[in-house]
Amino acid sequence: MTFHRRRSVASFLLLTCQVAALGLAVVLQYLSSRRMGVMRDLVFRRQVLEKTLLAPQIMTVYQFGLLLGAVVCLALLVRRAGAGQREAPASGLLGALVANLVALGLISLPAVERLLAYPVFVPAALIAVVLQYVKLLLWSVPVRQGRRGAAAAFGSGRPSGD
Amino acid sequence: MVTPRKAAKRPESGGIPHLIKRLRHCEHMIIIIVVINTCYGWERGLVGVQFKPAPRGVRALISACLLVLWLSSLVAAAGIPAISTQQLRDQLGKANWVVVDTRLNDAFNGWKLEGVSRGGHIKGAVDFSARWLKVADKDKEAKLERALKVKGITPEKNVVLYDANGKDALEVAAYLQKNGFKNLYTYDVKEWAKDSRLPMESYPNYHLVVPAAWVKELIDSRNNGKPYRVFEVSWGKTSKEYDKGHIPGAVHLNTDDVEEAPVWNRLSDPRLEKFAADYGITADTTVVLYGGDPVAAYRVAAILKYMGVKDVRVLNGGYAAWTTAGYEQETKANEKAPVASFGAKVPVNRGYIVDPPEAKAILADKKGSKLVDIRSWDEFTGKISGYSYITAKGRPAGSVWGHDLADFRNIDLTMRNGAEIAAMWKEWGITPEQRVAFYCGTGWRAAEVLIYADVMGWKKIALYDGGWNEWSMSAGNPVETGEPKRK
Repeated sequence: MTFHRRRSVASFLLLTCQVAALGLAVVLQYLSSRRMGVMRDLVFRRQVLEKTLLAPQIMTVYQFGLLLGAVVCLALLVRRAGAGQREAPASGLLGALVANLVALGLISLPAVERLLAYPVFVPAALIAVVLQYVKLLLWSVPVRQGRRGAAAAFGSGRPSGD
Repeated sequence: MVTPRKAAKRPESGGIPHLIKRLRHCEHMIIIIVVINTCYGWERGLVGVQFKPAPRGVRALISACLLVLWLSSLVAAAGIPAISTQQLRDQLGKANWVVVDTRLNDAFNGWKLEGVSRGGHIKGAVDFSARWLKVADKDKEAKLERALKVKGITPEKNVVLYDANGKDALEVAAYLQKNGFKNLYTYDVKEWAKDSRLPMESYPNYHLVVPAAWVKELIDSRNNGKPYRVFEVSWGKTSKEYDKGHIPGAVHLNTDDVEEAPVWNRLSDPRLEKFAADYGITADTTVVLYGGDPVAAYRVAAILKYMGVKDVRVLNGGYAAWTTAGYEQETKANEKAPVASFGAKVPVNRGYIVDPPEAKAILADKKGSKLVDIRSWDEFTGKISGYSYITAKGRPAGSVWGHDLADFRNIDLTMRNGAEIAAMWKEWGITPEQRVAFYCGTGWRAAEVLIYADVMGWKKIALYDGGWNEWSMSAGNPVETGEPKRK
């Protein structure tokens, strides 16, 4: 399998994980109005997580981190556009910017905060952002140098230069 | 085996007139229709499918077999001898005789149904309702066999099956014959009920759990002008079961409107007053509660009784009792009809539901009181918590096991025989002289058992609302795990 194809497969798998994480939150929110056990479980999880991962101070840290990430991605995009480069990873940067903004919305909007599955939406959004950064790193490895770089970084098992 | 030489002849039993009378019953008409269709086949089946009649010889053979099977079951059942009142009196209480009430559970409990002049069951009789034979349950055979064993209905005994309609006893007889029973007799309980000298018993508060016929009469007569409400009780703002079909006039009652997170206890007293007013309930309203699974109805019933509603009833057996009775179902949703106020200061019956201080006092009074656990054995011993939202496992230290909810229900979700319930509890030292508070995880299962204890006439009973969920939240509450030492 060529490096490019491997990269595409890895990218697809990462996208699947992102969709699964957010999809789980959506499914649980749907079920929370249909199954008492799901509803009570989500209420319990929120109660527990509000003392730890969803504590107000930690939420501020998340929001700051996402905002910072969005600003950095935007700055890099503007720099790339100004320098006339239109190749990847501009699309990766754009994806990361969008992921940061969406995640920021999911964890900050009052309408989302009122949802019963909010304790699932927050980690799902953060996981999606982290995976987006991983994809960005993946696409930042240039194709031409990819074979040698890939062999070192991803261990293709093939002799380099073929 | 006693040969009843002068057996009382029941007009409905035995002979061709009886067989013809049974032809009127729907289930036998269905068999006739099947036989006719087998013979002549269908010209059109379901959409896109056409059934062709089987060859003539095959059709004749199948029809003959079905007819023989059907007739043989009727003949076998019709051939069961009847027993006289005097003979029944003589055999009552003997170890090798068992008297079985095959009527609806409601009749056994105390309701006067099917023209019987006195409600209740013959003193000393056990229950095995003919309705249980028709329940759709994947473990039906095992449950029925277990019921027979627990009630002492065994093939070596002489078994008297009684009913009031001439049908139930024969249905149960046919079932028992298939399971190897030979010494069977039938009896018309109307004869027993006519004579007030003959002992019959019913539960002191049998009126708390009602038959479908009573609810039908209530609705048809509009409770003779007195206020009443019928509620389908289940969790959720909407209910699929309610939408599919409900008792005419029933309103959906969301259990989230009577309890709140995180402990899932009943609402505070002022909020309960508001809830009642919103749902059109006053202290003088006759409130009928039911559900697909009746546990939610019992939960609300316990809360309404605590509040002070004087007339609270629960449909025995849940919505299935209504549909099995063949009564009309409605699909149009009904809105709540609020009233100005509940009309009493909540709670009128303070002691009916208790909280941790009272639960601790009950535990402290080891001889005179019992805190009774209505959860599974694994939950009680701390093997599992039983809930995804309760992490702690175990039980309040000093509580006793009162059996899981499933042990309090018959296969048709009706209330189990009170004598059997009392026997289960006696094994664990739970007696009616004590002050008894029932608890479970969050108060649902325990509420159903509380109402059953109320039906049985137990006086010093209560529901510990918070249950294991609330008890385990406080680090200072004593907890224990493992199997208790049985005294």
